[in-house]
Amino acid sequence: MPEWQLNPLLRLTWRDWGGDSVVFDATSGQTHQFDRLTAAVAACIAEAPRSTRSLCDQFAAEAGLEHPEQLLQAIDQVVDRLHLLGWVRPLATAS
Amino acid sequence: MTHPDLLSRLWASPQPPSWTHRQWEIAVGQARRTRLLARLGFHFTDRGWMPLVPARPAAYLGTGILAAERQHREVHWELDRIEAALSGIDTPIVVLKGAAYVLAGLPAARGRLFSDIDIMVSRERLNEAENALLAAGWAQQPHDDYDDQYYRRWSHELPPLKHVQRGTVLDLHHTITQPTSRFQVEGRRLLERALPARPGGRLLVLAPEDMVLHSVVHLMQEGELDTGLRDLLDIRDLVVDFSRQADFWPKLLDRASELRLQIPLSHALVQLHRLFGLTWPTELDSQVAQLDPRRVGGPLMARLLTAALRPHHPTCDTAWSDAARLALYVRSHYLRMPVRLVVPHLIRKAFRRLKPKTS
Amino acid sequence: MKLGDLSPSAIRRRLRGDGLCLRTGPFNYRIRSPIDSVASGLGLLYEQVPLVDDSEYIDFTITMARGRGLRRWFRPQVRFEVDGETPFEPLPEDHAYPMLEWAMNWCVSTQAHQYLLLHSAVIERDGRAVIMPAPPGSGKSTLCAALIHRGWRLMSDELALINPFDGRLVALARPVSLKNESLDVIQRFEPSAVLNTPVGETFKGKVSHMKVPEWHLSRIHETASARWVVFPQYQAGAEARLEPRPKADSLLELAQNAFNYSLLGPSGFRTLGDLVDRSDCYRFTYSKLEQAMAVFERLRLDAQTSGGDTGHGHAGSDKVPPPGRADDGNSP
Repeated sequence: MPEWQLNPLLRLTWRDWGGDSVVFDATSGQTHQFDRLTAAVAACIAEAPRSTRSLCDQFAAEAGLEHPEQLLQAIDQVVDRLHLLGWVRPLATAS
Repeated sequence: MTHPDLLSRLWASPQPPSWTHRQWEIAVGQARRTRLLARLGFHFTDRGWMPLVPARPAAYLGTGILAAERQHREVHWELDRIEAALSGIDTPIVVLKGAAYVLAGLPAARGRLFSDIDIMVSRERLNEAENALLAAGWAQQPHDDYDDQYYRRWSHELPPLKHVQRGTVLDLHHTITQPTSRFQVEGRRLLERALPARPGGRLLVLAPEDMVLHSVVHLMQEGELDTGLRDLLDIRDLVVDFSRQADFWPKLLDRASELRLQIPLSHALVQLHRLFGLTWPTELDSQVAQLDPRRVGGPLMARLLTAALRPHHPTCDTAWSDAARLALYVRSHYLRMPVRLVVPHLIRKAFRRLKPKTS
Repeated sequence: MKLGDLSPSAIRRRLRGDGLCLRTGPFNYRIRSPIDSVASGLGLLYEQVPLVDDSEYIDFTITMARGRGLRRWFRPQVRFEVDGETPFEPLPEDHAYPMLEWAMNWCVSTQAHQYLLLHSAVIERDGRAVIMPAPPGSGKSTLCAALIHRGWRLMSDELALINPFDGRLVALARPVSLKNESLDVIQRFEPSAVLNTPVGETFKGKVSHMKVPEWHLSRIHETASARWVVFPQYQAGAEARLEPRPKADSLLELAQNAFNYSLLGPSGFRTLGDLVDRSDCYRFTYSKLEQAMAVFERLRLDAQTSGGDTGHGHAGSDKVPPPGRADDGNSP
């Protein structure tokens, strides 16, 4: 299971008013509106490379979820989209 | 109405101009038309001349600089995306022209605006590369969207690709000369000398002498002289910078012979000498003269000078062009989760705990 | 000296000669045109606008020229020229005055990037500004035209200019453009409104421009701070209601209504972020102008009594209940 890291080219500024977040990346000049989960995933990966499993475990623990399969699926989809956007990429593992 | 020498005189002058308000209006208008507003802005800031510029035109020079800075930021992202798209294709990727100057951090990048990114791949992998780009979100633009004349004039091998989300335009080449040009250069020979733009990076740029020759050959595109002055300024900046390398000039002259680009080079050197007083090592004088012994490039000179300040041809609408309509410039992307979350409020809590900071 | 100090023939003379130079807000224009309707339109609508000396730096030089060749006489056309280029297709000559106004807007929206530029109306009261972004058909111009006759100061009906350094709005106060039914509505609402001769059958329908009353122009140098962002939507038969709009949404929508948001990059984001921070953001649905006036009056009074115009008001705050019903967001 790969760990995902944030594209080092990104220069992010976040604004948040309790609902969706808005984030601006100075490198690409793009502005995005993220829902809560996407923002949470992006914020966690921005701090340190993470696998989707580890994110799921963390969020599930916080939420007290016993069977977080749906959550894992959702996080996988978020990461997929962030990958397509160029925001995250799999960390190359040393062999 | 037109005052052709206002700008061209400026570039070579060691003194700041003392222009009336009216002359400033004309200079700004011409710079805008020839896509040189950013260059004009940097020209003044780099020399510490901005305090001498009246407030209103200074603001417009500032907006020119803004455009160049924004574009340069975004080029790095665009190149990152291109590299990612081509990660599975076994080909060198050579970045050309303006994007290359930015990538390699050359002085020629300063104030340089460009509407497309040009890259060169190996001829054998051209179709594979295009397919990979199409898969990564670039699309072929419908032919009708172009100014037909413009497209035919350029006659690219492949029509430019436009990214569906970012709106940026990419031109894919396998060499630096157009199929219809009377000067033909094999891409293979350029690839042989291409260098990494950054140590250890995959993206390449042309060798210094090839970069100059590319810009030189651009000047000589059949009938395409809209960007004459801008191209000359590019060549000047490149040459002045590369001249600091001891063997640059001999290499440039030898390579021009090798690639049969003596005439375009001679033409460019004559223009550079006339407009900006550019010189080369005196021991190479006879070699330079030998580039074009019959002075074939002569008649083009007059055309170039008059065309130099002709209105810039409107390019197809790209993310970096000054669109003349009520355009939406925001590229935003709303990612919405398809799955209803069971405990959204607890996720919010998780998010708050890791409160994102400005990175 | 103001444009109204010139006789009609003097106005025509300048337009046909070296140009008529005037200042609207922060911008100096030089206008040239041989076309009579341009002269008469300017004479009517720009009476109190200051003239500018030709030796000053003129930001934009606009020529409203006659058609080329055959089109000079046969189904005559008007062409907009600037910097030696013609950015628009030629139009029938009777469209010359509206085309001039569009041309003046175009110059600002494509070049004045020292400001963050929004496609929206801006009005001001007590130093607090309402920004009303809106795509065509939202009714913003009608609303704007009505409000400025009920005590709100016009800063602009089309282009919001925001200074990225201090976030303050700068006034343009040019004539308000109105079309089709709005023309009748405004004439009934405010019989004293001065309107230019309408031009029928433009691609926008029937178009005219309304003169800005003098007191707005006398205060054109006053900047203002944004306090509300209201996204108007005219809806036939609807009761006027304000619905709070989430700030993230509002920021994105504002950015999409900007001409140069991407160009400004980080400063564009910061400017809009700060603006949304300090403003209450609403969607506004209405059909009757009088009801709309009452809603805006309520906003104004609430701001006066609560004061404290610094970064308050979350999305979801219903400080201003819509008239007549609980905030359930549903129309009858």
